[in-house]
Amino acid sequence: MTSSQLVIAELKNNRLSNVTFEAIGVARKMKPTDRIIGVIFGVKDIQQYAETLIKSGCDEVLVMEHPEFVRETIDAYVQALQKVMSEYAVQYIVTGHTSFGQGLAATLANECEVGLISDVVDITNGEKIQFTTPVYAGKAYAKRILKEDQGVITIRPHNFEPTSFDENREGHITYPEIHLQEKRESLIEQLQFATNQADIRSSDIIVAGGRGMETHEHFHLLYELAELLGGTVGAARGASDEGFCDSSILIGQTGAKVTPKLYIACGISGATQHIAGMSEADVVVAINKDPEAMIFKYADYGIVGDVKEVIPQFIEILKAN
Amino acid sequence: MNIYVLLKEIKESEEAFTLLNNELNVSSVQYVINPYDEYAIEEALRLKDKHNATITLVTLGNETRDFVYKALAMGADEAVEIKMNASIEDWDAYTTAMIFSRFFEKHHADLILCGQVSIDEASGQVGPRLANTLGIPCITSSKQIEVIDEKVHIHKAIEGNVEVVEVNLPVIATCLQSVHTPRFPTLPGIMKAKKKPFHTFTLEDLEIDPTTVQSKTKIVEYILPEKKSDIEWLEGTQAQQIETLLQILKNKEKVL
Repeated sequence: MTSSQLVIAELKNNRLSNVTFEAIGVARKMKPTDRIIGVIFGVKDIQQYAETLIKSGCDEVLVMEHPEFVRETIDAYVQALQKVMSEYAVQYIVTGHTSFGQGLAATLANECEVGLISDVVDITNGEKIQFTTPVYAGKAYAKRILKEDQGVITIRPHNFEPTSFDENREGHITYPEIHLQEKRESLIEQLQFATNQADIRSSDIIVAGGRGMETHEHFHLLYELAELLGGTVGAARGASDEGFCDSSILIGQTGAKVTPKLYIACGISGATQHIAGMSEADVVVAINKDPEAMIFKYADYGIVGDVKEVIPQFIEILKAN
Repeated sequence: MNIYVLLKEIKESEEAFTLLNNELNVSSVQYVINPYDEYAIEEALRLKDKHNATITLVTLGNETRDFVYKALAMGADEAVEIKMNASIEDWDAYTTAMIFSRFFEKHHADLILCGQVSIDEASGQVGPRLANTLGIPCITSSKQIEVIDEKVHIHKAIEGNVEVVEVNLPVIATCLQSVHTPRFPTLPGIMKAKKKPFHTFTLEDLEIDPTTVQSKTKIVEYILPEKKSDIEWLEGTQAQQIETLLQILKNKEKVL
């Protein structure tokens, strides 16, 4: 049996995440001539996404439909995939390094007794494929190999080119039978805390605030600024400690790691714990009243000024344009 | 209730790394508890505050012990350190998880807690791998853990919202930033820490054949990040600075 590469798609809020298309590209780069099998999970009516996956580079798509997939649970996904793995000679599995993706990947890798390389930001083909991953939150990078030339990899969103869409591309869509064992975890309650803003990890533009925003009201101006720029709001630890925002939008060593095209740091001092979360941003703008603030060492552009004045004016100017 | 908390020793430094013989090098290092493991310890301590529980810390291949004493000082009851065998080359998360599995096959745990990721490698593999080998559920992204009538209720962080899930023991929960701030060790806690039981195991003690836990992955090279070029300071009045910035972001950087 020739080997196949499995790409596990991420379907969120009725959208295939960009990282899915990036993962297909990675699988193609790793094994240019092998079959790429996309796997998609949902409750029902997900055929359209399967078609998109075919047109985006999958040779085959397995549509896993089951009521249990209303939530992302490692157990259910792994059980469904176990059957797949036994029918296809899968060499590599590729998926996004998201909060769910990392746990799923680790469980799958263990189930298949293979290695896992997580949070890959670059790949070099060669005698052995080398996978580059950040270590110590990007203070250095390690190039790793899978000793047995098989395994699971998770890719960091926003680091690889997504595949292009070809309307004429054809492939095979299958609906495997799903048999799940009895659930080991059950959902009791869902508590809504976050604003309805998109996941910061997938944002191209992030406006982040720190302790320097000084008050809850000033921090909340950042939402208006972000909206005008078409981005989302993030925070440094100081802001959530002060109660300006929920810790769900924290960026840093113990928060999200983001790789946006544009990162605007407002009233953020630039402690290493925060830099750890955003050092991979393409363009960094820092606004801080202290010209000696560490954040300026990591920024491409700097405005020295009081955010309490700069941000309102920034908003005004954007509205006028 | 037997609670085990997995601790990882982290080498922390404010300095940038240099490369020496293809190894990462830094001149001043502090050995600390992985920050996410501290949240796991705090959740364990809260469970101990409420229920009849013992907390055992487990660490593997550590070079120092102070970080373990800190966790004992916070209130954990016992510590276990597993010594790494020199014959194991290229130790990776697979190795770590396999060694922990052998330990837990011999030591029953009701609840195993650990940080979701370690801040050095950040792969988040050990918890889920361990759960899979032991055949128990793994709940990731845990922010709060409660035990109610012998069932575990775990608050999971799902993109800013929270899902409360119910699971039976035994279970592994990997912890993100908890809703609770990790407590500081008290002075009496620090004094008691060194007297608490501290067990050491070798791989031989755990009947582990090193050839069965060799790594599946290998680091072949380290590279250092490119130095960022100097910052461009915006000039003029505040309004001018903002206007110029917008021009640059639109036309030069093309990010808007």
